[in-house]
Amino acid sequence: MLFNSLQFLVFFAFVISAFYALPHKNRWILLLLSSCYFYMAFIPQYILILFAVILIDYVCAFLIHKATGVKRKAFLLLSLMANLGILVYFKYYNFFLDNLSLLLSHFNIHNPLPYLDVILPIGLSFHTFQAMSYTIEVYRGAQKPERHLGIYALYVLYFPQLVAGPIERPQNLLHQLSAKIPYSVLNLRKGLLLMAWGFFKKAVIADRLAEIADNSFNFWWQQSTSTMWLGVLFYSIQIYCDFSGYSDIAIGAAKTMGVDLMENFKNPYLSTSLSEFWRRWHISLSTWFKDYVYIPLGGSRKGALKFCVNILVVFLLSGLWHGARYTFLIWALIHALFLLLEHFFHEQEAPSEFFGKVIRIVYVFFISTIAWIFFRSQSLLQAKEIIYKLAIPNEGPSSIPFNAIELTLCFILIAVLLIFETRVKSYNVKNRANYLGLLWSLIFICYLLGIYNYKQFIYFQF
Amino acid sequence: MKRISLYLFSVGCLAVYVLSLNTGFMEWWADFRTYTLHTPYAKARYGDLYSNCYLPGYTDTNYIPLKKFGTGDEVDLYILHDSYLEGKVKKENFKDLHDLILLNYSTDKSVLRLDKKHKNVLIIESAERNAPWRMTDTVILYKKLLGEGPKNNSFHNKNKETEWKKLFFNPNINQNLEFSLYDYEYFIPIKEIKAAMNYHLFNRLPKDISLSADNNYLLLSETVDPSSLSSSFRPLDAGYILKTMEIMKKVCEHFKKLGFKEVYFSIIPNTATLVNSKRMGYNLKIPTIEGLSDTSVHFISVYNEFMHCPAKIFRRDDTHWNGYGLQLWVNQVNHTIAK
Repeated sequence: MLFNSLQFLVFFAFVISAFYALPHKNRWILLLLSSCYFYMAFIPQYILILFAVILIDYVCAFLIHKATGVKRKAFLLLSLMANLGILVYFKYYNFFLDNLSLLLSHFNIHNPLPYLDVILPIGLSFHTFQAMSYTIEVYRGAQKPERHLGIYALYVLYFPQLVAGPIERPQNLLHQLSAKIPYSVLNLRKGLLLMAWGFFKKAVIADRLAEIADNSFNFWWQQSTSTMWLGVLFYSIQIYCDFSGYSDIAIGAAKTMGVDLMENFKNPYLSTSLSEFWRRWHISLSTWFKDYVYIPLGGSRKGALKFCVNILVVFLLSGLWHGARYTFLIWALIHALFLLLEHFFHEQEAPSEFFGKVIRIVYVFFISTIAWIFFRSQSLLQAKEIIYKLAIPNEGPSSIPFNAIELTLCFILIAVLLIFETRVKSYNVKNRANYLGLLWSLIFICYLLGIYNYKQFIYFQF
Repeated sequence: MKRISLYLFSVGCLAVYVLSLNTGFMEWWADFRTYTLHTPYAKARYGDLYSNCYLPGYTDTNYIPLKKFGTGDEVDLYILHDSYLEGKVKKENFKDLHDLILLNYSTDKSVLRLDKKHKNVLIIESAERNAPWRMTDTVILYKKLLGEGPKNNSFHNKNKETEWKKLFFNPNINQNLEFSLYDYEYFIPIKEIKAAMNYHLFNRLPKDISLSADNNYLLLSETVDPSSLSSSFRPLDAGYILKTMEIMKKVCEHFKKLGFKEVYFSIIPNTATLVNSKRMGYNLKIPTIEGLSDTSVHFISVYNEFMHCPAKIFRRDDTHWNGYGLQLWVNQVNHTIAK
């Protein structure tokens, strides 16, 4: 079920009205059933995978809590292996087999194992990491095991953030799911406004820019240098609007029910260093890797070499998290490399003067845009050819699918995004007239300018 | 009071959602809206192309009724047809028929029972964009009309599984919800504003809609785009056309063995063929196929008549012909049967 669809709007209208109609003690049933239905709308059978993992983690959490010594670690490993096992099976088996086959072909061994022909469960990487954070926090003693199986299941399945995050922590989310939440008109207003803003970013900006980006990336050999640059730059904006738009809808939907999810984006393209970029982009994932991989590995506390290795490991895992393709690894490697360069040249801190800040913002945007080329490309060869096209001027005939007016509109929308992104999120919703004016304006603009070809959110594929 | 309102609203939303999952209910609802409430959906009131784009100024609600004739004793006419004839013709629109049996390509009902006391005539009709493959797909033709062909249990079981899933996860739910909530006359002005803005400012139309060269007609993009198999402007594959004729001969022989006295094929031109051919270079699919006919393969052709007719044959807002175009085709059928 896509957020940008009539199906979701009607589904959500039902859930939110039933949520406040029902007494508190029954709300978790409604949310759990709705979340199950939401997930099953993609591929119904895959809910069984989630049920199995929920049961394993639920039991393991109690066993970890009660056990001592080596047994605690064993139960934690059992839980992690169950989660990661499913992730590896669906997402990485064919990738590993490709590499194994390539290696064995040098020894004249072909087709060592059969390939899997399965569809990746939607949002697999997201709910797997969220589930793992629960048992890890129980192991660390920072979270008590949740006694109520339904509430724990809801923690994993909660539909606003089930398929594309934010990747929540049990300390933040679990208690909210069982708390008695009174109706708050301010929560409802904030939530609906955030959802409307998210729809605007997705339907009006992201899906519009996607037409030029897709044209450039899918037919890169037909592009001139300028149209290729346009496609690449628009992709940077597209992926931001697409993913942050989803996050806004997810956070807004939860907010209408009085649940506060963590912020996932904080104007990352206004960062003045890549270190800062990763504190502002997909915050839930970067903090997950920081807390559960980088810091346990030693972080920056064990010397320069270990620090470099830790950064590389974290970013390579992050690349792999996004997909089983070398292009994702190169994307991650680019970020890691520049992050390390910034660290060793002491360039993480923002300059104080305005002009310096602007230069740094452009630098971060440029590096991340180049890295996005690998993220978006289907192969290293395609990425390489696109970079050649960008670097070596070639103004042969090419066309973009927009006329001049729509192209101008794209730049206006990007300016609107820059100006209003923070303002909408911090908007004072107490004034009813102003709030309704802004909300209905957004809804009207979404209708008038929205592109509704039911394009899936980019991060659903992860 | 607030709680009751919330309960009622949530039950209302759930009802709309659940009913939109049910295909049977949606079909009933469409008929109820059209014939009882007189609030037909856009596709019923206006054309299928208009209801995909809502471009203002392209509606065409002229209704031209078909002529009526008397019945006869001799001829049973069977027509395997597509949407061009669906719900549009009756026995009395043809001359001197004893019976008219209509079968749609997409229907599950099939199996003819020929009455050999009468002269049985079969017409296999198709729009140009689906010709000739639809009319030479012997799996469909023989299975639908005669119930021939292997019974495929796994296919049948997969259908059951699909039907079960549709109860809860209907893939058409978005269209059904749009139909239930948004497909009403009073929403058309706002839809037209959006369409006009997108077209006049951004030159945007939905991907499956194009405008004719003279901007007078809405066209199905696949009939215009030369890369599409359905296009009037895609170069013909001569080998494929010859193979088509061989299959058509075999189809005619097969049905004649079963009791049909006469078997005809009839291809209805695309709108794009009529209105865009001068600007774009029509691939001459229809005259090429019809030109290969011989003593064993016969056509009921409207190509020349349509191409040279000064009146409008097709609707501006729809992929289909208007009443005048249909009348011309019926006239041709009557003329052929009478021979």
